[in-house]
Amino acid sequence: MSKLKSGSTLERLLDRGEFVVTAELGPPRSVDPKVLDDKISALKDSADAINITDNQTSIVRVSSIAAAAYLVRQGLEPVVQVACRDRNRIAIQSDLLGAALSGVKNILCITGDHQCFGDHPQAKQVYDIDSVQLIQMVRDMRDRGVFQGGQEIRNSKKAEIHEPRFLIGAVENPFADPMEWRVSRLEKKVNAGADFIQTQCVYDMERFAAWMREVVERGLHSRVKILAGLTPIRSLGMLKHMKENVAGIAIPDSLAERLGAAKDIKAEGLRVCLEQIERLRAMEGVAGIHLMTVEWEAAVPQIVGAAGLLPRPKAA
Amino acid sequence: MEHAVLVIHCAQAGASALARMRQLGYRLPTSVRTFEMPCTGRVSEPILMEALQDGADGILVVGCRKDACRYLDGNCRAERRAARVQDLLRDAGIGRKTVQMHFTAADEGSALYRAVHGFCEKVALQGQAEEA
Amino acid sequence: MIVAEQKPIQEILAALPEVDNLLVAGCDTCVTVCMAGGDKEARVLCAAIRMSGKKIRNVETVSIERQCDREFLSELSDKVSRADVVLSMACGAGVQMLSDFFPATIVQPALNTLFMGSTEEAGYWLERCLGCGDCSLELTAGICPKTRCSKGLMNGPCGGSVGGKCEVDPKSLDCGWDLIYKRLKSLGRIERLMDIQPPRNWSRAHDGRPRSVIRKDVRL
Repeated sequence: MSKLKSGSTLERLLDRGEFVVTAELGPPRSVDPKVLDDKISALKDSADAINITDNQTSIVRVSSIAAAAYLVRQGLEPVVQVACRDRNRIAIQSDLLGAALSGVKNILCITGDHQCFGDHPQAKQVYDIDSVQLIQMVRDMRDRGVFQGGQEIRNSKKAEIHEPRFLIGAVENPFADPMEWRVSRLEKKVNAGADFIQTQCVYDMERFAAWMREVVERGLHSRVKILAGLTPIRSLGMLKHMKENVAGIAIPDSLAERLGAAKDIKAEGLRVCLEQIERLRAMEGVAGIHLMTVEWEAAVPQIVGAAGLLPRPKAA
Repeated sequence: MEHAVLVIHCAQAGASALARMRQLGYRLPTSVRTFEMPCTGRVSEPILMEALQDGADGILVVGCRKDACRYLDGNCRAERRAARVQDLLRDAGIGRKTVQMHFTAADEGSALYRAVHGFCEKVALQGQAEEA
Repeated sequence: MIVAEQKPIQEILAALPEVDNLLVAGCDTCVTVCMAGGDKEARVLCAAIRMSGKKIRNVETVSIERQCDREFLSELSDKVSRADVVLSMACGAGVQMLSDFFPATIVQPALNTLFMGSTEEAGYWLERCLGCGDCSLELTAGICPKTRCSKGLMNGPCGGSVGGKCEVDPKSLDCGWDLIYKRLKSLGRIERLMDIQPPRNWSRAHDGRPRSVIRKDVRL
């Protein structure tokens, strides 16, 4: 077994070659703990690690680190998402130190949706650093024990270096443009230090398979673990919204027709998701799945169970 | 109360239509003044606004039909400028004044008379509404 | 050049106090090019104020070459001395300079200053430069990622770039990184995109402090 970078459950399972399952949890828009508790009970036994989103879509929610600390106290393993939109390098590094102290071992580095999409479009934008620079910064903190500014991570000149040790994740969207550049962009993130990738949700399996073939050709799958993103479509409204309004999502016409014609679109959407999982398990280079069932965490145990992926393996 | 109306017309179809109108025996009321420009494209926003400020209650800009402007797009520019001035007057709460564009062919004497007459009525109505 | 837009007329009128003498001061440089505050615009605004019903006895208008240079501002001394309020149609730099030059006069802005940009076509001006103080346009084929990318990324594009458009406005906003990608490709320099650009030095931008440029070799 190779030397572990973070010692997280996710890392151990990936290292062992297990087909991992991660799921997404959107923290509440208030301080009602019950919302969090309900989501946790839905996800706790069906995912190896749980992503906590960071003010996703620029809508104010409980901070990802605070929610993650809550999860750690419950014995669960979070993946803290860090967006670049709201905080500068000082705040991010400070938050990373806090996250490590709170027991967080996995970080997902993302650019972050533009603030125009959220509930505070007049807010000042930060983007002091971008996602690639963030990946590199987290890696340098872990592997070189230094802050972005170059100073060592020690409390005083005489103290020992106590660096935060995270498994570093990044996002890639195989369906965004320029299409021919997307695998190179992945490579760039791997060069910067990404240990695992969660892709934007996949619907077009042919295009995804083509993307994976190129990833494998370049040997990237042996340098980084790739988890395919999945979001089951549960209603016609959602189908329309995803097809027309969300940038970077590709829904093939054949799928849209199939879902549109279904008597029970929710059940059909789940069926489609299960078919995708079966195909992904057999696809070279795919190390797992990342389920993003927006505000429908209850679907996760359903899907994971029906896909034959329960119970989840224990990390050694 | 008489409302002062200014008709700014081009030297091409505008002037011809005006001449035709008079030839046909139409007479414009004394509250209407006419002014010739080489092309309505020469009518700038400051010219419109200052004419209104100096006493005109309404300005009708009369130019050649689209695609018939001797200077290619002078009439189109005039149309856009007239619209912009009209918007400015509304936004500034200057409801009693108004600017409008009218396109004409050289021989449309009666149509021009109807357009001017209709415009004068509009100006009068607007003036009364504001005074009320 | 500096690009600005005139404030909505209702806002301008609402902010004008009812005084005896108002001077509307236009500027013949940048704001003339972007048709916001030049001589024409000043005359139009002047007429609008006169007809608006605001109780201002006397409204005058004048335009000078630039309001950001003392040598031109001095031409206004006479007219400003007779004014109770000056409505400046210059960009923010001009309004402030005019205010500094005539500190005893109330000066109000008529424009919202927006950006440093270029005239793409008649009637269309585009933001080009942020004034970050650390130009690296050679890395991105002459297209600035700080201004042309909605997120100012240095290692773009992000996942919201689709069909060459930015997620912020997929109908009409070009993705700056798509533009950079295409041009680097046409220049045969696409491999540069694999270089990881490090975090920017923001201390050279306004973030560092209010800025000035001082040239000892030309100061008297």
